[in-house]
Amino acid sequence: MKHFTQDRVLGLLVLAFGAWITLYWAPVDSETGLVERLRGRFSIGDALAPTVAGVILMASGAWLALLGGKGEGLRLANLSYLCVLILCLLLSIALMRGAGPALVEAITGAEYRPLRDTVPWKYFGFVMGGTAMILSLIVLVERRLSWSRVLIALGVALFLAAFYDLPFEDLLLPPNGDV
Amino acid sequence: MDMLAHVWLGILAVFQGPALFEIFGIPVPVTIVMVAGGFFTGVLVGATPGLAGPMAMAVALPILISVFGFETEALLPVMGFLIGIMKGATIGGAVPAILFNTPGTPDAVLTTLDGHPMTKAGQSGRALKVAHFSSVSGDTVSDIVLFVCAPFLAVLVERYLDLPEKTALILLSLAFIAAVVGNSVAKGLIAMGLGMLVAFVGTGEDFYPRLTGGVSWLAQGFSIASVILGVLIIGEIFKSLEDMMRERASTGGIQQTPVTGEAGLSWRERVRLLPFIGNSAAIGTMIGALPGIGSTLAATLGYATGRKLHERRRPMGEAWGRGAPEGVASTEAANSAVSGANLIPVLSLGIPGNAAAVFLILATESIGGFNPGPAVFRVPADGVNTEMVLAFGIFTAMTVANILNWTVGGRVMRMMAIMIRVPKQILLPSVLLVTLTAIHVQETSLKAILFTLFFGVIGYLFRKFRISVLPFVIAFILAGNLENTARQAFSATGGDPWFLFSSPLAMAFMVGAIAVIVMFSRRRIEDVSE
Repeated sequence: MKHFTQDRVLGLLVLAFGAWITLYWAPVDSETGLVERLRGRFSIGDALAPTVAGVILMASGAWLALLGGKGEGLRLANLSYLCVLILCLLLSIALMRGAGPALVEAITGAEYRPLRDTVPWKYFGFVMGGTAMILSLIVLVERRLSWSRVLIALGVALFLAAFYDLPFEDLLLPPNGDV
Repeated sequence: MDMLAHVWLGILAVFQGPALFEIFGIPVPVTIVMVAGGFFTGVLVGATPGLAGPMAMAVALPILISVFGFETEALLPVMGFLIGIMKGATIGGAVPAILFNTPGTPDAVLTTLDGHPMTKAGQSGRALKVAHFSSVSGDTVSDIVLFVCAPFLAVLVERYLDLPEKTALILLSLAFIAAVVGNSVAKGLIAMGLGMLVAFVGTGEDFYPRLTGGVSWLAQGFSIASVILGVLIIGEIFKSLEDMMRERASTGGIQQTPVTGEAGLSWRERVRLLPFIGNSAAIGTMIGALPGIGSTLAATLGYATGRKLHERRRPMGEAWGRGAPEGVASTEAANSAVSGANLIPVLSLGIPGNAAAVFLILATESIGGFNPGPAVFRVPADGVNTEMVLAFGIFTAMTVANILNWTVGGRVMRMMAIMIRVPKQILLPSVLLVTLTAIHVQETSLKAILFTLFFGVIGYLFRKFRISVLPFVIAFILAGNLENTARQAFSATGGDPWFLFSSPLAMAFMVGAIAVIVMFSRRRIEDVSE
């Protein structure tokens, strides 16, 4: 019964979202309306397609709100898992983004950008961030940290760095595309 | 130049294409090598619990494009590799189901019903041979239907469908996918509406990028790779990680079962399996030709009809569901027969029917020079239709993959049983990093990685609410095409607002779209009220 209700709530949220798109977002955030008349000829404007999507969302949301469904639904435990997961991923990406420049600055005092495609600097951020990402997710599942898992995570990150970088000269490992 | 001449040119494009290396002075074409590489990768991926063919296709595509570039010449090697993965993963999926009772996909659950009891009875080698023989047979039948039907269906579409009919046909396909996939028509429509909405962000014909709120980093819209990989792959990884986390208390490592027992499968036994394989191959092919239904229903129907057949014949003696080779054959032939037939709507209409087909479309969109749809099989008055040559080149690559499957597939499949030993809690985070790296390689921007993670969260939420991601992905891919066709149809009919009902055929498609929604919603309402 609880899940049944969650589906109805989801339906109401989708209905509201669809109404907002149809009545506000699509007309306000498009340069042309539903249909345009240019030099005597009618043509479809940019707002029509998103309006159609909005109407589909409104109708399907109302339908779901009315009938409910069999969804598993979201529990507090799911949301807390999602928050921890996103935190792990964002911290790993932040490490990936910042580790290379920080190391270059600490050792050479130079800027990272000119060195971003040179050995060994180009690997540092990816290996650090990649190791952190894999390790944090393993720890999240297993709820324990061990040296074997650290070595596995490091090994996978090193392997991937070599796999993508060594055979292909013009590929840039993350985060080197935009640092 | 007629169609047969194009068939021949397609075959030559594969076998006389650029050589990668030589063996005893004989050049080995790059497309053949790529098909083989993809095939072995596919078996490996399919045999690994937690991984699936589309995941490998997602990771491979950016690398392949980086290696082969965006020119039309890149299409056959790239598609060859992806097709190889698709076919390899189909047979590989039976390995964990039979040996370890750990089905990697929903349709493999049915393979476990008879496959794993055979393993426990000391006949794992035989069960794997039955699975391989049935899977390859079903796949081959399906491919033959594809080769014959796709060109003729495309010719019919091209001859009889004008712009309003094509618009209505896309709407019918979207309605069909939304109605058929998943457990609720309303949820299918929600997924479809959201997929369309995401596709419309930052696109359109005007100078101002619509639905961006003036935010510059949305002006280019969402990259197709970020959206599809996020929802399909990352969302699944997020869900699987959570499932493992919840189950960790009850799991004490993976039990390893050696491949033992009677390994042979005589020709007489193969002949006895043929009625089951033929029955399931026909079911799988028919279901595969309809977009969105997928291999799970095919496997279920194949297994159910196989059971009735078994009650009448019972040729090998074992009870159904307790280690009957016919049960394994019925399931594997049905789910494998879906893969070839699924390309019928892709090549003849440009409409992908499942996740693997989505990545094939993605490859053609990334590379260019080949636009899946009815125009591919248009026979030119004079000269050559290069798209038709490429289409027959793709059919040739599929045939090469089938030959590999028949000859070495079984042996490779049994070798890949070792993949079961890789723990999923290590594998899935590694696949996550591989996927994000692949995204960055293609987009060279951390922003793309963040978008991918965002759509991964969307994919996770879809799964929690039991909303199928397939209508979302297919609507996202088809939305641009739908809008363009509708714009052209509207202009061509002089601004007729009823252009979708302007001809009997267009009207029939629209009525069909409404009918399919009503029909399936009535069934689902009964399900919910039960």
